[in-house]
Amino acid sequence: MMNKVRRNRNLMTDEDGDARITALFGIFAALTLMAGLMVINSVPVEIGPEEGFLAPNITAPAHMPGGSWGDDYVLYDHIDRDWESGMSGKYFLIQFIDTDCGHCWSEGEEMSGLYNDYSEYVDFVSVAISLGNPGWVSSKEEIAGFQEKGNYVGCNSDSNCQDRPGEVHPWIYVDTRSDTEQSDWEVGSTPFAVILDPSGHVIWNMGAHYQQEGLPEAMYRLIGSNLGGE
Amino acid sequence: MVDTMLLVIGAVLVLGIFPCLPQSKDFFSKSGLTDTRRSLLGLCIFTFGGMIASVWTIIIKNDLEATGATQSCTSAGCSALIGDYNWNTMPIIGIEWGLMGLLAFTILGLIALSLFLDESNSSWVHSWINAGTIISGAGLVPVAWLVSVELFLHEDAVIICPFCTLAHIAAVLTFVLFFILRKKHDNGSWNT
Repeated sequence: MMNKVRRNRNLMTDEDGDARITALFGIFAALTLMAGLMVINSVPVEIGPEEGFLAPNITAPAHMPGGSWGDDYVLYDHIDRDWESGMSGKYFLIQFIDTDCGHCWSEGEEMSGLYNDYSEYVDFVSVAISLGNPGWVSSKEEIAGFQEKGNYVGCNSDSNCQDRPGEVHPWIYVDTRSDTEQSDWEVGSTPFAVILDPSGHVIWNMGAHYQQEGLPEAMYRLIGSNLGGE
Repeated sequence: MVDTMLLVIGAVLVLGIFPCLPQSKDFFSKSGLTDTRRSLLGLCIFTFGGMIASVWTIIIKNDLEATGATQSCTSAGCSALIGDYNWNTMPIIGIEWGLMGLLAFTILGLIALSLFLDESNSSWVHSWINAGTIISGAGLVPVAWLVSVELFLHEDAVIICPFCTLAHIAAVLTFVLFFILRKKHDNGSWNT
């Protein structure tokens, strides 16, 4: 008798399960419809560091000289998506550095010169990444020291940051050492620089002009020459 | 200009109200639907409307992120709220509100559809109604916060994002129906 009752209850349970499984299929159907909506309405945009592409976004803690590490810098919050050629707007120079890299150390002076010449027309952003080379250990303090020329030993492997060539860099530094920016931007070595137009599209990628055109020449050709010479 | 999709989602939500009205009893009695199942049908439609509204906000956000403009919403509130990373991201978890809404409405839709398809007042019904009431009730907290963003907190307030508002309406209607159905189950009038 007991077994019979239990069998009946199991049968009820199976029937109950049927409603939920059918509902699950119904929800899958609804989700498929939603996915279809998204595909139909998706805007095909090529995002990447290649020239002509919309630059990948950068979202990382930001630092300005004399301040502390603050809110995230979000590149896409600063670009003017409605900008078109001929309109006024600020360009972007995105420079990727590893604070232990010797070339980044010596390029500090060149960057100071470029900032003095173009800061009115160009937003400078230095993106600190970690190349992961043996013995290259960076930190927020080291990045800030590199930017501010602060009294911190560790820049350029074991140099004091205050000895970095150039002036204090009065533009935004962001820390992306633990994020995906390095792969999104396809950064293989540093220093690496990209120039964006005000709409966030890449107009110059250092890698595409290796040993053909340097950063100062590119800045002049793309921006300076349009201003009547810098 | 009113966006077409705004009308579509609005129509879906209005359609969901219809089976919940006592006046629709005669219409649905031909199909053999009890009062409870009519309410459950409305609940399914509300969650479906909420899913579409949530997905549409994701589409708008993707448009804005990719091109800076969107043809999926002509209201200024969409770009000001959905296009703003700070307002359109859930604190702590860090996912966008549209995706959160889609997840919530999917779970609530699964519960609603399961209850609708079950005709035998099974043993799991009570716990699933409770789950639906709790989940939809918990959803009112972020809805209240997002509405306060539109009305007070945003720098350009009052600024209304119409698709977000439809999703909020769907969330409130879903909770109200779950609450009514829960009371109905508790006082033994589930099969009427």
